[in-house]
Amino acid sequence: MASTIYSREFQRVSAYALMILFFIEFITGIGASPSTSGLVNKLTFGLLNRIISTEIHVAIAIPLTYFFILHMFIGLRNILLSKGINNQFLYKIIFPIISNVLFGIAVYLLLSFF
Amino acid sequence: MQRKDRRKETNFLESRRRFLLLSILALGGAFTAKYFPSLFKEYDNGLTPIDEIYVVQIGGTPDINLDEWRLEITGEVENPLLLTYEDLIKMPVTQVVETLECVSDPTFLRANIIWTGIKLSYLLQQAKVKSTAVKLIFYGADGYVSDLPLKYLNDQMIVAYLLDGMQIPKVHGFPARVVIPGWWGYKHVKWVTKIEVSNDPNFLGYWESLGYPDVAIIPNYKPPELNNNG
Repeated sequence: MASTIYSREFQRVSAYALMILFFIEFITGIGASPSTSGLVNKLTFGLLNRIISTEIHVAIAIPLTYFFILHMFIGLRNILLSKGINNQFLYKIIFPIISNVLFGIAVYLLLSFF
Repeated sequence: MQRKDRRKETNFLESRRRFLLLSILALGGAFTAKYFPSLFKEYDNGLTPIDEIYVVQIGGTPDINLDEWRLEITGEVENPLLLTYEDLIKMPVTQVVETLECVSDPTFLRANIIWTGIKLSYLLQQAKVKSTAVKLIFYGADGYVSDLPLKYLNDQMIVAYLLDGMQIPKVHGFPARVVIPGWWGYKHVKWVTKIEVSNDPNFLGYWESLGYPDVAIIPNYKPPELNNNG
């Protein structure tokens, strides 16, 4: 359990990573918009102009998606366990495969349309 | 006892290492699916496939009847012109190779294109521009407007009517599009119907009046290098 994605320690790390990435995505999203980029530019003392915000916003989308999907499946397992569903095949095989297939699809869509 | 319990617990794909390996495979699969076909196509001749050329515009795509379409050159000229498509394609032709780039996202919104058309300088020569002229104002059939300070005019700037040797697709500006190589995409007015030679140095086009640079030169711009097939 200690070295799995379901360990308490890993859940905490992935939740923090998701939170930080979400925050950066949110700020750079505002910084990338034509009508609101000036605000972020001023608040960051010119560090995040519109072009840099856009680059970061796009670059962070993939890790954000990764941790989002991971977080979602870890949470889903916790919910199912609390309901008494203890199917190890589901958690050890099905969840890792589905989550990574979803990740692959999401990355493909991000590369194609984002 | 502890050692015995540990042995009992077998990790499958939920082990961090295996999960990470699976994730790398998924990532690789996505990149391969996206880039291998298009890279293969791009390396064919260095051009971006026409169906992958990005589209950014302020409104819809106008339907233009080629028989009714005219290109008007007016304003500070001694000889105003009203050109039909037939008139245009009879003029001396120039080819320009360009990487068209959108200011909003030059990483992804970019396309290598060969444009064929008439030099703007030739058209202006035919119209006999007055010495009072300082700007060119381009009008698109969709209502979009952009401008070009006349002092930046060069022989690479054209009114194009072919894209990669074919009639410009409707969504990319059929029948004619202004091409200003090395300048951001918003200067490339699609469905151009009028070029006004202006003596007003303060005139600004649609995006220019919203704060985008009037002199929209792309920093460190380099035209694409096509291989032999291109």
